[in-house]
Amino acid sequence: MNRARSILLLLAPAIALTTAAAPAPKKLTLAFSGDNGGEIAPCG
Amino acid sequence: MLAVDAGNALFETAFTLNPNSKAKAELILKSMGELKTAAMAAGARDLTMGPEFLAQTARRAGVPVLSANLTKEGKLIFPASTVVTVNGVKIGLLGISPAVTLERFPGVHGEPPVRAALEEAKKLRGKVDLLVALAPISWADALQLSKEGGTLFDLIIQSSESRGLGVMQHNDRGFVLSAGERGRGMGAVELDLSAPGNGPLVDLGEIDRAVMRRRNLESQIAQVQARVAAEKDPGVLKNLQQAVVSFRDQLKDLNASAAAGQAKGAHTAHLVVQYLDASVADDPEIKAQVDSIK
Repeated sequence: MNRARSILLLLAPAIALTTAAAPAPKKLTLAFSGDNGGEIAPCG
Repeated sequence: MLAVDAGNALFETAFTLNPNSKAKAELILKSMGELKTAAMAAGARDLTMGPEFLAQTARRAGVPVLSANLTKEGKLIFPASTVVTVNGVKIGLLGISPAVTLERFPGVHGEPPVRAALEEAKKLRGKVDLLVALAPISWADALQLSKEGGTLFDLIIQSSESRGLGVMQHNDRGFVLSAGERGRGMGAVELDLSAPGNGPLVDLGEIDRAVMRRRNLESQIAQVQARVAAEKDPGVLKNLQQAVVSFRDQLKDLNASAAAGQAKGAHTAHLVVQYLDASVADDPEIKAQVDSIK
């Protein structure tokens, strides 16, 4: 077994744990409108 | 992406004889449904044809209507709030209506909105990551809600009085912002709640403005110091030195302010405004429907 491969095998559990534990980014875009006042087109 | 409407969307006035008004309101609600609008608040100018019309048309369009204080014979007409989850973020949406008595619709009242909103917000705050009030009430009432709400709300989206988009006013925990007017634009708040904990939002725009102001002050200090080095007149020299002291004091205050260093590891909000001007192309299908009404 070459050295690089053995290091990867040693690190694999840690990498898997890190990947599994990393929380998904809690991001979102809140789009909003308001006070439209019945407008459906410019000037009306 | 989560789309909401803060109310006063459907009619120009609280009473109308314009025969096109109903068709316009129906088209607006249908479009909001197609945009998957998660909730709208019932404003005074959504109730022009009565709460029954709003309830039925919104139901057909698939748009949930919220109001924590609009009652008929003492009972709530619409749900006060709803909770939706987007990208793992639980968002509480709370709607209110203005304090009105709709004489044409017997028994229908808008109870005091601030009190109703606070009661509902207290129930929701511990269950959600983000609490948003959809508030078709005056700016003064929205500020009162913000003040009395203290740390309850993250965003209060105010929608009346034709206030323009683009301002986020800081309160204890979150912000009061106006929702726009007459369909001239749409706002979006880009939120990042990835950091652990449930801390208050930090406005990235505020941080950008602080960085710009710091650069301006540093530049002004350098310019005045260069003039100090060359100035011979004692009177002018004294004025310049006082100006440097003033600029340095401002810089010190700015560096001490919380906004300057809070973005890293904080929950952040960034307001983006899109004006619906000629740069935004018409949707041909919607344009045809608009033309058929106009």
